[in-house]
Order: sequence, then C-alpha cells, then structure tokens
Amino acid sequence: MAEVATIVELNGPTGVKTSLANKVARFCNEDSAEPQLNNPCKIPPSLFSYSFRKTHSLRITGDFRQVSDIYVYGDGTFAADWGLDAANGGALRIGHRDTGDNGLPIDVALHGTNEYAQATGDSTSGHAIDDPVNGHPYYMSQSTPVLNFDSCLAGAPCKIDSGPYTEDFYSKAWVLDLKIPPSAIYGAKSPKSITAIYNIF
Amino acid sequence: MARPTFRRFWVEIHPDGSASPQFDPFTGKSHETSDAGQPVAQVLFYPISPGLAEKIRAQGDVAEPSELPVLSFEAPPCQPIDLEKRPLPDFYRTGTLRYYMRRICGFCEAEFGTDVEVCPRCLAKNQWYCGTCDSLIAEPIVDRERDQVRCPICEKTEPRGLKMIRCIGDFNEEKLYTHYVLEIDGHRHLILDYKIKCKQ
Repeated sequence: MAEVATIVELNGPTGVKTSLANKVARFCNEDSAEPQLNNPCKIPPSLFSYSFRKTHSLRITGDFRQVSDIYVYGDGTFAADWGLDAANGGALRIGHRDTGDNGLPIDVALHGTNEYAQATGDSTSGHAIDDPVNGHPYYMSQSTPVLNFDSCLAGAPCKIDSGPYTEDFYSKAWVLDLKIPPSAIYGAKSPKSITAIYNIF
Repeated sequence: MARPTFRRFWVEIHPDGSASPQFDPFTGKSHETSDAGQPVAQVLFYPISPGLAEKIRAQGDVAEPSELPVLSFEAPPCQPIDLEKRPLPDFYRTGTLRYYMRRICGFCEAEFGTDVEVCPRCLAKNQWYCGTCDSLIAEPIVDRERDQVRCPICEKTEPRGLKMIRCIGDFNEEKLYTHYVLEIDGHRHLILDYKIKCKQ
C-alpha cells in the first residue's frame, strides 16, 4: 500500500507525540497539542512576547523503498494575516541551523541523537527559540538561530530532513514560535496551513 | 492520517519489451515498491478507470477514476531511466501534505469552512451564556487586554464573566497530494494528477 502521512506535535518533558489529524494546533502560552482557547498569546506593553514553542514532525508509515528531502513552507503571509506587524519585528519563526538540516533530531535510532527540549515560559510569554538564556538548546547558539517563516515559500522551502529513510519513521522536527510586538493586533486569527513535502520511491 | 489519491498510474516498459505496472490491472495491488531490477526504456501514464479504482480501493489504497490524457515518455536508447540512481532515481514521486481547518456542527454534523461562524444547515452557532442572567448574550463585552468576555447587563452592578456554549468544533482535515518526477535526457518532467485548463 502507498504511504500514510501525518504531522505529530511533541509535548511534555519527554516529547510525547500526538497526531494533529482532526485536531487544531494553536500557538498559545502553554505546552499542549490542543490547548483549545486557553492561555492565549499576550500582546506585550513593550519589547516582545513570544508564544510557547511548537515542535512538529512528519510521520510516514507504509510501503516504500525510500523517503528523503523533507521540506516545509507556507504562503508567506503569516505576519500579515495574523496582524503581527512585521515592520516592527513581529513574525512566525522557524528554528534554523547554520549548516545541514534545519530539523531537530528527536530519535536516537533514526537521527543519531535526541535534541528535543520542552517548550517553556509563563502565562505572559513563552521562551523564544533564540532566547540567550532559555532558548532552544539546539538552535540558540547558531549564528542564525531562526528564520522568518514568511520567507519559506514553495520556491524556497525550508529543508527539515535530508533522510533517507527506508522504513516507517518520524522525521526530524521543525520548531516554530511567534514573536509578538506591542503593535500586534488583538483578536482571534484565521487558520493557516503549513505544507510539508517529501520525495518517495 | 492521509493517503495519496491516485488518479493516474504508470507502466514501466523495459528494454526487453516487458512491462511493470504501478497497479496490477486484475487485482489493483500496488507494485510501486517492487524491485524491477532492470532499467526502464519508456514510462507510460494512464488514467485510472472506474473498475481499476475500485480494485485499488479494495487493496487499501486510495484512487479515483479520471479522464486524464495518456502520457508517454521514452528514454534515449543509450540512457535508460535509472531507478537505482542515488540520491534520487530518475523516476520518483513527491508527496505534499497540507492541513486545512474545517468546522463541524455538533447538532447536525455538517462540515463547512472556517469562513462562516454559523452552521449553514441548521444555523447553530457558538454563543455566550451568563449564569446570573440565565440567558444567552448576543453582544458581550470583549476585553482583549484582560482576556475577558463579560456580561453587559451584569457590568452595571457586579461584573461577571460569560461561558462559551460551544456547538461548532474545529478540526484539521489532512490532504495528501502527489505527483511524479521523471528525469530523461537532462529534462525534468512533472507529471501531475490533474489536468490544467488552458485558456483558449
């Protein structure tokens, strides 16, 4: 049979995986795959606030010889559609590595190491990926620890995992956070899609 | 969990004249990962017929009939299509997974898009309820700075928060699109599973 694909979110201290199929993933101020409307992101009076980090991975099972070259991209309008005021630094950001795959290793057997780190913060702000003290250990020391996800388009997607994989697997993960300036716009935001692509044969 | 939907299938023609189809035409079983073990001289793409779609579905894959045109790609005699080339062979498939937010009505189970707040079938909608007034509040006070939604009637005496009576749920619908990539003689061909309409 052909492959079956889904996206999972990793939460908790050990990175428990939850499929996002039939669920709604929301950026918020808690580490939860399905927070409903609880703990919404806060607009700060000054400087920036951040959402709790989201860690997502592509899960593929089924019959295939090889899966490789896993990328993610968006439509380039997250900041605009969500009122993040890009001109003042607001953005959806994705963890970035200076060299190699941008994805986060999450399985020792599949990726050689497990660099998962639970999202942290408090009720007013999460800890940013590139926070100098509480940032994500796998990204915070990079010279470019994050990319603006609005620059990751279909023609220039963000490479998450080169692979290759020859049996059922979880890909390296992509880590996202929201950077929110004081000039961001209040209110419920429209849902948006992230696209994951891969080569299979 | 999303599966790719096949609307066309390929048939590999080998230099010795033998053929290897993606799906067995009699059983619908997938041979996509079968190791042909020999180079490919020609690749044909046929639309999936209603009968074949049914057989493919019986085997657990997802297929739907189509009227896509037949496509034929021939490799130069001295440069057969190499399925063993790495990191990518000359012929492979790409999957594109997207999540779409959809809404579902708790009363009539109608599914609809996120551009409407009211169920288009039974007109149900999420509403705010005040426990003190024991009534639904059509125009609550929405305080963004304090993340509060309060009753405008109780605001005058003893401010009180409202409770959301939820009957419209959100969920992510997974869709997995797929297309083929074929490299022949230095040219890269994308074989899509739908017909692009050309403006006449």
